[in-house]
Amino acid sequence: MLFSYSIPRALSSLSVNWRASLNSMLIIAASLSVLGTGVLLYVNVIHFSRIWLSNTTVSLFLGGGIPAVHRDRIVTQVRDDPHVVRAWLVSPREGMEVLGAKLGSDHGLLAGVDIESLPYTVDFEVAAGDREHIHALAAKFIALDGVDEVVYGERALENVRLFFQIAQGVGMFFIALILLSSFMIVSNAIRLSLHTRQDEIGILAAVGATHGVIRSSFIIEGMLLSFAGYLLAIGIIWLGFQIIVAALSWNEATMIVKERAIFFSLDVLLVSMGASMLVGAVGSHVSVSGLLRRIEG
Amino acid sequence: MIEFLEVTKSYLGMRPILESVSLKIDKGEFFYLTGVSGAGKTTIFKLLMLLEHADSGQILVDDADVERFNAKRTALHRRRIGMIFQDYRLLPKLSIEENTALPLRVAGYRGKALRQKTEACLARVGMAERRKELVKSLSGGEQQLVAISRATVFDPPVILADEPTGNLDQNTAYTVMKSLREINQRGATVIVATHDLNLIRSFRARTLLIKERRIHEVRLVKPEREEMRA
Repeated sequence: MLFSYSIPRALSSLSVNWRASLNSMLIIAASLSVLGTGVLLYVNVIHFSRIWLSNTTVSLFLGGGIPAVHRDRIVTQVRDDPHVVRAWLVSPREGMEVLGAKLGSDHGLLAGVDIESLPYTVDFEVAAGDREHIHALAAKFIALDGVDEVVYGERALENVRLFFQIAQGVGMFFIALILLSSFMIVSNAIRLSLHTRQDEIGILAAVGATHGVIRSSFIIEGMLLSFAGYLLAIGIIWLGFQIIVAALSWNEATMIVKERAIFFSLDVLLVSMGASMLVGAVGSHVSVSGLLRRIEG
Repeated sequence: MIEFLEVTKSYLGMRPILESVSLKIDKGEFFYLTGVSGAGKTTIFKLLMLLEHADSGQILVDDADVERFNAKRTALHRRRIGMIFQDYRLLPKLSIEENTALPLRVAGYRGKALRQKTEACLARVGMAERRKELVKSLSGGEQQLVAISRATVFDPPVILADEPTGNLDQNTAYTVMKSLREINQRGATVIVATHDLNLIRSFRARTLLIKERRIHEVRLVKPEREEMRA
């Protein structure tokens, strides 16, 4: 039945009723574009939160007058810790240079600072998966002989972690909400196109088509409409993404976003394509079943 | 054989349109169902096609109670009844051939079998040569001939024609009635619902009148006077 009627009929219906089909496809594409843009924003917020968390650097401020051998021993002890990805010694001069670069045009503020009075630091990074060990590492390294202070932006780290948790929860809630509304929009778009063809459903029932056969051609049609709407929506989102990312060159922060912003992965694209076709199929099924119930009394 | 046993039907809880109607139709019969508009002619067809359901009573087709049919059996039952509508009920954007082939396609026919059956039906109503034309470009009479070819595509044992000549001029109506007579002569039971007494007089046959929610058999004696018996 699929090849004798359902698929040929779905294809011929799409081409014969091309205006209604185009209209439905554009409605679907518009709703999926809104959904996709929201999801892409969410994915990038999570992505950048992860980057920030994984890039947390810890600084150990060493006491004054520590001999070079002792400083090297501390660096070795830090490097030997399995949670540390890399560790390096920063001299007062290097520290001033880094700070000057960060201050940019305000680097003149450092003019009166006596470099000799500044301490050496041992900076190190932990692996992304070992963020939870930062507190323990801080406690461990402060106990080392020669280490005066540990600085690692504890509050910022906690804030990011909290934001990350909230974003995940709220994001999931909104994605579920947008998915539901997108389902309603898609199934309503399909229902609109079906309403113009109520007579056809009545004729099919009268000539002896089973409910399965009647539904199948409309379900295939709904899936094809959703698929076309999905492709258009992804095209729109991709184009918008490229334009926005290309324009992000104002300062250092936006350059980071420009370089590291991500689009949907192939896996996500395939899964969302399947989901949108499923929405089309379910929307058609619900609409045709309702019409069939009315026609059959 | 088709039997209506004490069938009552009402719409939306209103006064019944048919009340305790009993009717027996033998195989190979040709007869008219007549009555004023809204008398219940189409309702009888819809009940038989299971497009409506009786409030009470039984409808038997070859001794099977059709009201008990499930969805699948209902579809098969409808393939054994060819229905012809006053408004043709064709798909205007499809061709003559596609409209005629529709019942076959939904039943799973493909390829040569589909083409042969479709062509044979179109040839019977004289439309085979024009099979590629779109239905919307046809006249009312031509559309009715396409509807007849679609209704006969399974060679069903029963044909229901609901006001088949209602929208047609006299000559075209004659062609359509001739086609229905031929179908009957090939062995099918043909029931024609009409309120056109001229048509009934032109093609004489058993006539049933629906009046005041019941069915009466009438015998046409003279054009001006019909005998009625309960």
